[in-house]
Amino acid sequence: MTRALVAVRGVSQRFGTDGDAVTALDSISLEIPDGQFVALVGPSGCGKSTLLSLVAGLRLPTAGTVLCDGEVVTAPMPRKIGMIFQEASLLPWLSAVDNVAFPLKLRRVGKPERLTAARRMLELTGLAGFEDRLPHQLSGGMKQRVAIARGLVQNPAVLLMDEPFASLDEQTRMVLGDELLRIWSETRKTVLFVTHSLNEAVYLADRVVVLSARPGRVVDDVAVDLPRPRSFAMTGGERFGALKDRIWQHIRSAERR
Amino acid sequence: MSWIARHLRTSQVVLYVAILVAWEVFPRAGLVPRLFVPPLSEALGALLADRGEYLGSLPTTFGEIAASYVIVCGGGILLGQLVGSSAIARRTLLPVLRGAYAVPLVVLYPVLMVWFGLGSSSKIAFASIYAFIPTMLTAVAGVAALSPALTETARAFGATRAQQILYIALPASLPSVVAALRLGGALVIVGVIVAEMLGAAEGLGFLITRYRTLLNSPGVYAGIVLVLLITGIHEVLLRRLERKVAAYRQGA
Repeated sequence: MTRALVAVRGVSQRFGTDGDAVTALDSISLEIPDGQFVALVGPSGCGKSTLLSLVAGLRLPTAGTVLCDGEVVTAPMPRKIGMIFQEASLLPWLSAVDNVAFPLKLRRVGKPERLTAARRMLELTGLAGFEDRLPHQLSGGMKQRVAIARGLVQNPAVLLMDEPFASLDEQTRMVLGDELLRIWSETRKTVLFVTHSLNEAVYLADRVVVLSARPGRVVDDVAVDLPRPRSFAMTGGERFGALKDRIWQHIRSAERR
Repeated sequence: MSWIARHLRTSQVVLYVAILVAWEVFPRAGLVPRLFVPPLSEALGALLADRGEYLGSLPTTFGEIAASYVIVCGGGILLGQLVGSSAIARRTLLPVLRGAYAVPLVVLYPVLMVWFGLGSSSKIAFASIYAFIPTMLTAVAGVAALSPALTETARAFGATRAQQILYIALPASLPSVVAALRLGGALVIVGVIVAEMLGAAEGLGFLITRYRTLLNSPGVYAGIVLVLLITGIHEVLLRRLERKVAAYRQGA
């Protein structure tokens, strides 16, 4: 549990050319041990999603390196890293099971094999019986369950989640949060979870990393010392409130500037 | 809920029947001069009586429609896909194309007759030019609307450039391809019939014009009934195709 599975070292990201360049991220360093659930929060526009796409290998940092399992990330590594996006990332013309099997299809895994794997993932995410539905026939929460199943289907060591529940109503978010924790405890992935909900961050994570407003820097790294399994009752507790309060101080001062 | 809302299908059928009945009754009652609109039964009677002539004109017309269809839908959709997938091409070409779209292209027809003669070539040329730009613009709009989220998703799961086109860009553009087919086909039919009416020696449009010159209204309307049938069948087929690819629409 001590080995850093994901390591971000001195990463900066600038957009645009010299004259009107914008620094989105400024010398970010972050080590995530195997199996840890890390939430990434910060004021809007602080570069949380940019950092996630750097870890995913979707873009290259202007400076610094990202390592995954000891390997420098220069391109997407779909077998090591599973990605779960916000809403509407499912292919609308594919059924739930085909959407989940899509990453395997890209790797030319045979049809029976990939469908079996996809069905198992849909079962894990509580969607058994909905395999043949098209995305528009599913509710928002179910679509995100499909997206989670798709992120897990290659059994990656790392799961990157970019505000996956942002478009859902609060009840659905809470149910899916519990589901995510159940799946996480069964699969023990290393998770980097971007969210703008402090409740969600403290409720789900082992550790909350707080970024400042642009240019994004790590301003705090909060260990969430709440026992697991987490329960809804904890969200009203004193410790939960204290942790949330500490994070909120950073965000508020950043948003005020 | 009103009766019409509850019985939408029935209401539509009632509307169609009402139009047909009006077509029969109004001229007979003397509300419309028979020279302008003869009763439906007289038009159908003329169609039946001269069926040899009308059916004989169809191979020419259908041949012209088919050739233009291939040029417009093949070329227009392909070019539309190419232009649509490049932001620079979109920005340079689209204003020009939209400007060209506003020109009433029928003014070109006399020139085309001089170039291509009285035969089928001038009809095909006119219908192709007439339908090309709108068809292409429809295809462009569909490709340009491809959601970057889908491409990004595929990339994150390791899709190569070729896989992104094969599994994302092509299926995502299917609805716009069918929309372009539907529009292109309808415009091609109009273009061919109009060209035949303006100057030809055979074809359905030619027959309509000839009977008009002879002041034979039932003959004119018999031709019109056939044109309606052709466009109607095309519309029904393409709508069926559109429903089939509905799942490919993004954001559904």
